[in-house]
Amino acid sequence: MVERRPLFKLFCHVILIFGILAIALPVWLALVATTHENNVFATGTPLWFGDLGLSVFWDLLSSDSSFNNSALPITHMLFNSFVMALTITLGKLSISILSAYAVVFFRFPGRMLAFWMIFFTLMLPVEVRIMPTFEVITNLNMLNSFSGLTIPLIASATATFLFRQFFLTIPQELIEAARIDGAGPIKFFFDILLPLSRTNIAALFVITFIYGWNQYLWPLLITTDAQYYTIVMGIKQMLGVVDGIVEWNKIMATTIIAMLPPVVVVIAMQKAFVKGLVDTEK
Amino acid sequence: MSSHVGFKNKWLPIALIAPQLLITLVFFIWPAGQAIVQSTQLEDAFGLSTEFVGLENFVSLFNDSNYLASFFTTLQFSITVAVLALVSALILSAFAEHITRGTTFYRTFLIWPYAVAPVVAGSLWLFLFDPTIGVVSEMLQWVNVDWDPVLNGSHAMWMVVITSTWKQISYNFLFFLAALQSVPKSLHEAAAIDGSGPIKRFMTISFPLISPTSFFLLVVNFVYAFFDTFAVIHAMTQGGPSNSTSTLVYKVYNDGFIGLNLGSSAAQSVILMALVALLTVVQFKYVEKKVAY
Amino acid sequence: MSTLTLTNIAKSYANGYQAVQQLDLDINDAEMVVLVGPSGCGKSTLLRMIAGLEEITSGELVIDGQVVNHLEPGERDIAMVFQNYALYPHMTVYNNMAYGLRNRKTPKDEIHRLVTEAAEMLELSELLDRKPKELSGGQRQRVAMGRAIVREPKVFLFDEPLSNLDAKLRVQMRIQIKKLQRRLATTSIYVTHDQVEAMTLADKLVVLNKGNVEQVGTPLEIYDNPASLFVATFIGSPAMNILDAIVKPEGIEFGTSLLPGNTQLINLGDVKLGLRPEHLQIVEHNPLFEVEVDLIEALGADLLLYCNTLDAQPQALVVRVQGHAVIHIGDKLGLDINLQDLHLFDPITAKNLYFDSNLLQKKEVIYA
Repeated sequence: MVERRPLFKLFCHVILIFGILAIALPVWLALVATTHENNVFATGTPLWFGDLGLSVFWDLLSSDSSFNNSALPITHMLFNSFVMALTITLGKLSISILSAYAVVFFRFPGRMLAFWMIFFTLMLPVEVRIMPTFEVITNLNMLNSFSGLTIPLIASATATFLFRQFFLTIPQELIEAARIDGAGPIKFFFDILLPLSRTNIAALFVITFIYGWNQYLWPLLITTDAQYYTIVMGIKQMLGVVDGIVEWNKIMATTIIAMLPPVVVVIAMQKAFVKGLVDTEK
Repeated sequence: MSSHVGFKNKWLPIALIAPQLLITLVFFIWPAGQAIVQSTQLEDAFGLSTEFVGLENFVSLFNDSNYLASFFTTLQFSITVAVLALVSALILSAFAEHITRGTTFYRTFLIWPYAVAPVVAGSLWLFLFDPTIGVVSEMLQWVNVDWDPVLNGSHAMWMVVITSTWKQISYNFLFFLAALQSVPKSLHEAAAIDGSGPIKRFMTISFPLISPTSFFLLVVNFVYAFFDTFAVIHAMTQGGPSNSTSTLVYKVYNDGFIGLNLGSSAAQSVILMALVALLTVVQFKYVEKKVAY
Repeated sequence: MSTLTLTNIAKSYANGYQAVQQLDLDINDAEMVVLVGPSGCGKSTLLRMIAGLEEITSGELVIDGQVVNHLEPGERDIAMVFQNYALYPHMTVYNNMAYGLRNRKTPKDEIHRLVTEAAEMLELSELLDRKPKELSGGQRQRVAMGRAIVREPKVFLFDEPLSNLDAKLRVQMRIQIKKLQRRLATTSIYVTHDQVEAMTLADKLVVLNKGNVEQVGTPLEIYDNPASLFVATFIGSPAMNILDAIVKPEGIEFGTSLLPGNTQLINLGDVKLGLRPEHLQIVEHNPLFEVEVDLIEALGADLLLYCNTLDAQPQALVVRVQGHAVIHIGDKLGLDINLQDLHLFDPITAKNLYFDSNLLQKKEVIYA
């Protein structure tokens, strides 16, 4: 800090704590809600914990049968979410690093065309091409399958660009030294490029895992079979009760379970995440 | 595009890039082309035959008051979300910049909403905004506001705006903080010697210097509000009541997937593609500028 | 035991730029050849063609009797030390040195022996477990050398390996490289733009300019008998003085001075006269010509006098004298020169006129 102003500093802390509390409010209320019986909500939302403890969570995670009209036990949906998020993450990272490697370290016919095709995907989020993409999936018989849930999402211009950007900072001499040391393209990739990309891979892992876990529209389109529902979709199913009692305590518990994995990943890998996020957009 | 001159193999790079290109072609470029083709076609009521109608789908879209209303809704929604998310993040980061100890602590507790799925955010806030049991409606009772997002369009709009803003603050905060921290310290010291306090320094030094980041974030926030908030709306309001929260993306989904009006949905897709293309170009123009600094 | 033969080697790029033109060069076993020239002269391109990092457009490169034009760098049995060292940042010093050996399937204990030996030779034994970023510039440079040595290659290639070091370290490393090369007796090719480095390291010096070989020879041969104006001004510091002069039947005239002599072997007319600063002597009587001192630089051992000739059209030149000579700015000095120390260059072709006509024998003829 430039000068000493203890009061101003205190004020800064107060503002930030206020911001943290405001942002955390919905999660606080959700957490509180999970500790109450559902009939409590008739008289308004409680602000402090009830006496159910974590029992709602245990019930949800241990019961085989689902509640309400969601057809799948939460554990199964969690499993689906993990499979989907991890497949998307690994797939995205692998094909992006390979294509960035090809574009940066090789000269081949059609290189620029390939580059622009990948760039083009930036302009085509799922949201804007819902129907025709759905048709492609139908024609390829990929409805209600993990391959349909994941493969179309693993193309990534952003990840490819991040790797490309990083590769371009690797000094030319390093490749030359490796060639003189008798390393071919495959050896160079595994012995040198991959270890050097560790931080970038970690950063992209966080971002991509969140992206995969939080997918909503895509699974909504291509899964009609409840077997493939993810936890994120499951929440919507629960909210969708038209008549009847909304089981807020269970919904909030499910909501918290659904947000926990990506939030844990972000917090645990905070450093990589922040770096990756800021770098991706450069 | 600069590049290393590395290895000489001809087929290896093509094999390396093939998976990405294949997926891009099958799931991105082909559907986009299909959207363009379908946007010029009209399907009969039974879906048995299609005919080429040129730009008719577009013309009828722009004559459709519902579509125009959706355009307006999207604009209203996006501007509000972008402004709210940017301003609150800027305030938080401006204060966070002055803190020497506990930065990581504050950052940790400010960034986690980024990881929350939009539909999860929708669920969390739906609980707060519930007209009968929600905390918000309870509080609004004190000031005699009869909160009812199920029937009141502007209430519904505020609900999705606040939820979407809540999710975006983290992202903006990280970028603002990084930008503020990269303002050279010597400038602050020089200004402090000239006698300006922290607020004045923020207004006259930091804020002008981070304007490229602010502009970049503005574009990103627009893109976010346009395209990434589908799940929030789908979970909270389903575009209602009476289309008051039906943004363009929600409408594409609703008309195409639920209403099965292929031609119109395709035309809407094409318009959205043009919009994304425009925003992408603006964003990349900005990136070029930043590189030149 | 390796020799290199370059025959008609040329490099041109797609845009038509000729980086190296029709170059011939023989390199003997255990010889230290230094390629020197200004930036853009093609020296690095030539080295990289020998390494196999650049394709050879035309001509033939032979290492030990084998044409290697189409071999990958890894198959040529060469090792290279790069300007920025190009150490693998994620590997320890040990692994940096061992990597090339592992790729060649050298047995493990053999690798260990070679790396340990090289580390000892380069005083790196203590640093084998460190990563490059934990090393100083000089240490990194030594690791880069070590990586080349362990391979026991046929040829060492050095691409300006000292230019990232500070001046003091550069001198130390220069000496170390020279000793090492003597000891290992490995054929080496060394690229530099620094003529002091070139002079001190080379067994054979190759001066390049614009993709052409200007001159090949030992450092002293080149210093004493530069083949062209380019070589004359490039090698030697401060650079050789070049004065405009005219060849007349009675001798060589510059300004109002005349160097009398027999000029029958040279075409009459304009000529460039080259005089090294240290060859100009201050004389009290019968000076050949006179100058006025304009500026003095004291280097300690020497004084450099920046002077102008006392002619209607003064010409600038530098004189090197002993460090404590008592001379002041504005002094007028009489200068003389031994006739065998002067050089004449054709003003059009820039070739050394002595050199072309086997100067050493003919000097007497001209200046009988």
